[in-house]
Amino acid sequence: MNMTGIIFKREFQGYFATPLAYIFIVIFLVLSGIFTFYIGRFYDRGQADLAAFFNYLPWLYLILAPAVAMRLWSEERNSGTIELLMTLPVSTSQAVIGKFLAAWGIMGIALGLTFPLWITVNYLGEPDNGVIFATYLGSWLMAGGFLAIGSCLSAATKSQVIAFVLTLVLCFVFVVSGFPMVQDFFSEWAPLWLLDGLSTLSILSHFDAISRGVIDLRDLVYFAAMIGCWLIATVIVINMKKAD
Amino acid sequence: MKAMMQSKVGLMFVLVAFLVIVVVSSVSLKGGRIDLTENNLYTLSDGSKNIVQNLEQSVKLTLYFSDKATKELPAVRTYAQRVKELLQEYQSLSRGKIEFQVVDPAPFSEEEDAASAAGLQGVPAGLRGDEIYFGLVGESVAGGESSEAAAASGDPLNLAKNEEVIPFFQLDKEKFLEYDLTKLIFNLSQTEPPTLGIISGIPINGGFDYATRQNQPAWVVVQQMEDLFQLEWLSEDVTAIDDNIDILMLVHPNGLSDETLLAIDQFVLKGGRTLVFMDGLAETAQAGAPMMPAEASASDLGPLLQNWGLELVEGKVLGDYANSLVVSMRGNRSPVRHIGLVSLTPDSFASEDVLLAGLESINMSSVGILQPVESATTTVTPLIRSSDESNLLDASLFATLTSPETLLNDFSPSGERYILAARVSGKATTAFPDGIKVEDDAPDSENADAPVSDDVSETESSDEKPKITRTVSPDVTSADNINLIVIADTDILTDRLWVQVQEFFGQRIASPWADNAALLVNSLDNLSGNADLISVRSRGRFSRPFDRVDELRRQAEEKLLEQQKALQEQLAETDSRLAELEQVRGEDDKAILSEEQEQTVLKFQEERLKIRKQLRDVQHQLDQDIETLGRNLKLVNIFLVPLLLTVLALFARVWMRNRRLSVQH
Repeated sequence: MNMTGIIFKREFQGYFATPLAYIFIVIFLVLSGIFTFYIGRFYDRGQADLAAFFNYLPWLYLILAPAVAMRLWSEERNSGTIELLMTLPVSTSQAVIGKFLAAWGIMGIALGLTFPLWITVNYLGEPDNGVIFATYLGSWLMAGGFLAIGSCLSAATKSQVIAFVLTLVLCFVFVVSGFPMVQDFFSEWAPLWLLDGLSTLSILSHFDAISRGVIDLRDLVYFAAMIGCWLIATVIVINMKKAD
Repeated sequence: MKAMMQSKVGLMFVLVAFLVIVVVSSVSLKGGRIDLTENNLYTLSDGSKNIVQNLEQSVKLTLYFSDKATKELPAVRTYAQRVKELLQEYQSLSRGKIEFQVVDPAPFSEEEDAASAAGLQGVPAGLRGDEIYFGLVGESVAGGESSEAAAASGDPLNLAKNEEVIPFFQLDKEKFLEYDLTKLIFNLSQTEPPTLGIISGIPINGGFDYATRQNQPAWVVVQQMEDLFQLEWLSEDVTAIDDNIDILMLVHPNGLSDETLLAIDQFVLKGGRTLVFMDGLAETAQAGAPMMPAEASASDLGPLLQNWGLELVEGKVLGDYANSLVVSMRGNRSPVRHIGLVSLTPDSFASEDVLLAGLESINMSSVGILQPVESATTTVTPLIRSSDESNLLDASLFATLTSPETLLNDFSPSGERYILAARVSGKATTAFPDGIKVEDDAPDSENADAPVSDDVSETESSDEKPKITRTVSPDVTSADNINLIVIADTDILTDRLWVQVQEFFGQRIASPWADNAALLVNSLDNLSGNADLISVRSRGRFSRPFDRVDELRRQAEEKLLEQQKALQEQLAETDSRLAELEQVRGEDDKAILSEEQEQTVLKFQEERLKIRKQLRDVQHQLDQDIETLGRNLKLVNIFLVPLLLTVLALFARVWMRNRRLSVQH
């Protein structure tokens, strides 16, 4: 088993050693259920799709993903275990990837546990399951993007709270950059290409594109770039801090 | 490299790399995608591909999109992107026959003038209230001479003929984007649309309504037909059908003369394709003249229909419980189920027929019943059938119908599935083998005695006018393959059953909520031999309702109806017993009721109140099952998994502690 795998396993089990993962997942599930049924009015809409669920998912992730990601590195730095980790025969990038995958796995489990909703909608009517599958995939990729941001910011600070807040802010920026209110701010002076570029950078616009049921290469590239670049940045930040 | 991985320069480099990857990929990686939607909504269908690949004329498409003015409208921009990409896909498939360009009509520019001249619609939604344009202009470029040249040469007629426009891409019509685009390209490629002759016994093309004393607009179906066909309105006494008519459409034929019937007969036998809308009870015909006897509102084609191998069951219309609609009533009355008003779904459709492919729901009202004639030489293929929870109702019931629930009173399903629409093909002979006798007025000169100038009221004398009788015999007496579609409802064409018409920026925008028009246009398309366009039509599903909830609602209604009936009977009985007792008292004014009798009266009165309360409760209970299901689903979805997880976590904790303890000991 390679080092990434070992780190992944250690981290993944670590989540379950404390009630942390469990609490995250339960909060996520209860909130998503409430959002879907009360705010999204899933049952009253009478339409056999999961729009009521997925529409609110990005906002839910905005809280949950930073919460999962904040302890990735801050804790290690705070408790000093990072020194220990670095003495092991593990490269920084292996550690980064392993930890990230563990967190991503937890998010995946949380997302997967919303399956009763999928059963419900199939019980009630005949939804387009292709669209639902694509949207689930898009949701998981979006979670990966948020986590990668969180991973980098968590590596940059010792305080979990600061890591949480910074991640939340940055994720928020990535979500809303395609929104009219943000575009408003820029449209006064920014050239058109910049505005379109901003919209292209928005996580939400790529998530929306996938949730139509079409998996576009561009959206996949976007999420891959998002995850890849932020993880590389994490490695750089850790190395920088090590050098300090 | 190593230094870079430890420095701020490295971070900057990663940031730039990220931006470059995202921006470059969004521009360069087009077309690589997997379409996971059920109906492949985002992939060009074979029908579109066929049409585009077989274009005979070159087509020039210009997409006008206000790029700058839509800075703040990301939703519109995203959709515009999709339209652009789809058009590029058409272009790449067209083997150079499609020319495509995108124009940004900035305010007060020449491009803006061109856009509005082409018929595009500016919507004031942009920055500082600028008008935004988002529409498509297609021009066919015939024989190397573009229509621009035609325009330059000052021939506006030519230009109009070769131009097709989508005034504004509405976001809520995204599902039909491919159809709209393919239709536009298809229309451009056609030198001339097929001609559709229409004989209608009801005012589908609008006209003066005597009831409201207003001019009525044409029905929306007419607009839909005009998009694809050249319409020719034939009068009800036409004696010959022109050769230039490709398809004949008969709507509610009634009281046609033998001459007209013979003309239709001949048209069919000569290979003309025909679409017939018959009706057991045409409500529109009835609405125009409420005193009209029921027979007149049933369609009649003389001997023709029978000759084609079908008959319309006389004086009967369909009642179908399973497919019935719930209608809201005037005032505060609660909505009721109307078994004469049906919404047919794919369960009722012949799934193998292309006409009905992809259609979701077709609404009909007081539908006639078709029956194949046993001795027929033709082949009758049912297209639409009722559910097995249906039976025949007397058409006369509808004449005085005020509350639809009364239709349910003596209704019991027969278990048979009735034919509501059918395709007729195969061998046929003329319905008039001996020809017909036509009476013509003798010319006036030979008719000196006749009081020509007399008062019109003297009809008797004018009846005595000498006539010349001549026999018209059919040119064609038999055909190997006739081609007809017969639909046993005319109300299907009325706006109220399928479309909502709204005024939108001064235009009439029709938003369909059922597929009635799609069925009509599919049928006409199919008859005109255009299968490619049919396969594109109606790709998306309008709605995916909760079938189970609908089913529950139906079951609840059924159950409650029984209860309601029983309670109403009880109530009637109690009322009559009470009335009897009151009568006894009334007869003998001074008679004092015995205590026992008083008790009975009181008991009855109490019972009456109780039954009435139960009846009210029955009404209230109607949605209870549905609400219960909703509540249960809510609970399961919000709490079940978290609860299970909690149990599991606690269990795991206890198990781990036990294990730790056992290891320690």
